[in-house]
Amino acid sequence: MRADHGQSELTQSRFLWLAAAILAIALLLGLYFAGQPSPTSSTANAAAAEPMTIFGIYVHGFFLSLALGLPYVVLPLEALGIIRKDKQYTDAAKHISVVWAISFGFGAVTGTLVEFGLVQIWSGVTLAIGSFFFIPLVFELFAFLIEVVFLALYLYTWNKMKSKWLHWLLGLFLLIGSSSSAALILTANSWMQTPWGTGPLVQAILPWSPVMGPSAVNSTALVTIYKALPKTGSLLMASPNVISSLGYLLYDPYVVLFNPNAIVTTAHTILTAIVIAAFETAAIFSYSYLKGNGRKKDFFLNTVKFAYGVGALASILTIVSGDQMARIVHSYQYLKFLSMEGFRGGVDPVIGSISNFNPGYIFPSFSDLAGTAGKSIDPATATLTIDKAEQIMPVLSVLYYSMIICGVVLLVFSIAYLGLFSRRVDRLVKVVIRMPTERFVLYSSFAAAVLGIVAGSAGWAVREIGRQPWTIYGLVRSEQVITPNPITPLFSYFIVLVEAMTFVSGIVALYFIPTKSLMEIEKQVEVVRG
Amino acid sequence: MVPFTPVSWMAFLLLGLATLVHITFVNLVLGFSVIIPFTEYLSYRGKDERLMELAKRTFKYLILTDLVAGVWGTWITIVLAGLWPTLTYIATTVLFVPITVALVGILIAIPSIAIYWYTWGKVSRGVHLFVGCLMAFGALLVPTGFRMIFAFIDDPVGLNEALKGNLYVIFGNPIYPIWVVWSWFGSLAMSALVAAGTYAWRSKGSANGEGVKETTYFLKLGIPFLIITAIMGMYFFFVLQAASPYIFASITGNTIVAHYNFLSLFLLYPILAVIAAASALALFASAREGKLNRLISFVLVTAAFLMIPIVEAVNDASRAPYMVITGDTGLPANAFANTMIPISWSIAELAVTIAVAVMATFLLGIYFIYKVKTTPIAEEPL
Repeated sequence: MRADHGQSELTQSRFLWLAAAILAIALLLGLYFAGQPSPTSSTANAAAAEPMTIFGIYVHGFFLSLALGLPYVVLPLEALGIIRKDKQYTDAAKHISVVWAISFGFGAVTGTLVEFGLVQIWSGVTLAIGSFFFIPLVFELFAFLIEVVFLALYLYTWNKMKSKWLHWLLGLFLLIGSSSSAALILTANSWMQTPWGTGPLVQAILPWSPVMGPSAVNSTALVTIYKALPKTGSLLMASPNVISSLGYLLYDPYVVLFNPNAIVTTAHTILTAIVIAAFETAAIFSYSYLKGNGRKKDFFLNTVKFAYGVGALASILTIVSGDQMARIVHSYQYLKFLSMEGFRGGVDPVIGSISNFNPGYIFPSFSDLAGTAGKSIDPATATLTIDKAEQIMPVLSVLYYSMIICGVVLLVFSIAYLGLFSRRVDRLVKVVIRMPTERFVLYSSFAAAVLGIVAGSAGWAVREIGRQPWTIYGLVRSEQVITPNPITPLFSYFIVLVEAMTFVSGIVALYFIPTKSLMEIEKQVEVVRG
Repeated sequence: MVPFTPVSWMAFLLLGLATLVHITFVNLVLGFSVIIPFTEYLSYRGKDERLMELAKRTFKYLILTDLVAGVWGTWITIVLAGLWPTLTYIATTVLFVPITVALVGILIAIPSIAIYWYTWGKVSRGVHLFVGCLMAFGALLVPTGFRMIFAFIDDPVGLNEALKGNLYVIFGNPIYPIWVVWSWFGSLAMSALVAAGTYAWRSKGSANGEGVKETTYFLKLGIPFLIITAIMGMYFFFVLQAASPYIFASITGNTIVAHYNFLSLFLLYPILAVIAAASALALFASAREGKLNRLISFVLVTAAFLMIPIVEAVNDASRAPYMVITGDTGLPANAFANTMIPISWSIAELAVTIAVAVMATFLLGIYFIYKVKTTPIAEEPL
């Protein structure tokens, strides 16, 4: 006992030393950044704000993927437990719901960060996009409320409701709330990719672009606002009625909801979140199975098999939705399509066969597009867009193919998983990998967990980097919406530091809290067996 | 008379309602974030296990109120971005520094609440108290930043200089310091008195001394804080007279200057403060005899719970129909509301009705969770 106490003191002392060392390094870095000059132009300001924005979105995305994908693992597990009257599945669902709750909590915290970043650092966004985002965001508020209320109810009513199906139903409402919330946020994001409802406005600037849906905007008002950015604030205070004097900006606020990009993006993102969440779950339970002494074998193994199955199914569906995503990019953001494929145009039998079902299809090249820039109302901006697409091509294609490779490997894993149910596939797995499918599933879950995250991260990077130099594709550039206040290196560093601390806290919570919960389940299992 | 348009009417009400619910619960979060570590400290100093248990039990309320406050905080941001884009743009540009201060406060407060809970009893007392201090510091920082928004729209001091890049001149606003300090003490008074009343109520009037110590402890904290808040409230009233004459006219019923008369709503604040003080003193007296009266505790909880939000409601509503007050007039809400999308009166009324219904359902849901979750968190693994 005394030895344990001594060990604990030693660990705590080491922890405090480590914390002090990290704090000292953070302070030194802070002093370094405090001495760096502030940006002097809006372009430099936008560049200074990008690292903290990107990092913040990824930290948020990590927790959000789990919060979004885990209900698709938890609810089928709970349902299976109820149908089969098997407590193992119910315990697994209850255990994973703890991870779900923690992910939601950290998703909300990091979401606050992203939200403030949007309205404060990229302050022009509220003026430029506020009207277009209004309808999806208002609906999102209600979806978010449903999510919060039902999350709390679902967690607090485990084993407290007479009907187990009623508890499951609470979870279903939660799933609907979280998926709807994600869909509406993604609808807002998709509008920045394909500004649906602006009709031929984008085409007027980027002549190779198609018409972006019906013409539901007052183009004079839109151009006036976008040109006035970022001086509109002072202009408004001098003459408060200037915006209302422009009349309606958007005649049909609901048009944003019918963006084809939004529909495909929602499906693809939710499926990716399920892939990440399911394989993460499988990996954690595989670890527990392999580390354990065999007494909880069934409990861990069954959960691994189930979660892996969900991940495998979602992986296959992700390939279908990913194909649709690529087709949307091909149709509405052709330059991004060329950059991500690492393709300069012309004939490519593989790309032609996949995208146009025609191996001989001739894709317009960068120079072909440059030739059309003269038709633009702003030829310099059209040329800048082409130059930027060529410039980002090496990075974008590496990211894109990383995503594709990860997806293909996950597809192979998914096929191998069928070996659990088919002797033929099992024999094939044994021949190729020299281990039975069950063992393969256990070991490959670790790789699948990493591959899912890499694929998701790379895919999102392709989506966002590929839009450069635009914030709203073809209409507003990032330097137009950045705050006029200088984003100093010290400020940027401080925000990144806070984001990193939040991320680390989240990871620590995701490890320790479910571990505690798992220990309690293990105790219960032993009591039942005893 | 500056009339509301459908969109500005909807925007004004949605923002006001969300702010009201948010600020009511945020005040409890803020107060508990300070009171709980302080209680823990006292329990160590006095080797009082019961105080420690009280701190842990009260933490349950903090988590629940933080959940509500967080949800409605998100609502406010969305309403601001969607319905008040120009106001949001100006505020985030001109008030960049105070909003950053508030953001830092939020980012310190939320993780420290989680760390504080999960390290309770697992790290040394000093480390745990340090985390508690961080939690309190983060909580106090939030109104320190956000109160500048309220002060600024009551009296936009330094606007022109701020638009030229001098972002610190806004701190010369005479309303700002009193708003901040009043918020600190107001939230402490509200939290302590609500907790005192709740513990007294939950003792179910038992004569065996159950809940007496808890109630007495919170009353000893709450009554002095209430007195400080009341004195500051009076001072605040006179600051408003000089710095924001329109609001002063509106809350004193001077309809020659103001468009609307909010005198009766404003008078509710001193009335509720007196009721809270009287019921707190009565409860304190009965607690000294080892008895707790449920009726008095109910009155105390109600008065303490409504007292601070009433001030918030009066301050927000008394600006109508203006959004930014400039002396004895202002810049109309219509100028800042999103007039760029077509919203009819029927849609505006429907949106407000739905929002009120959702708000009520949400609060009922939270109450249900509170009722279901009667056992302390530590005793109930997920």
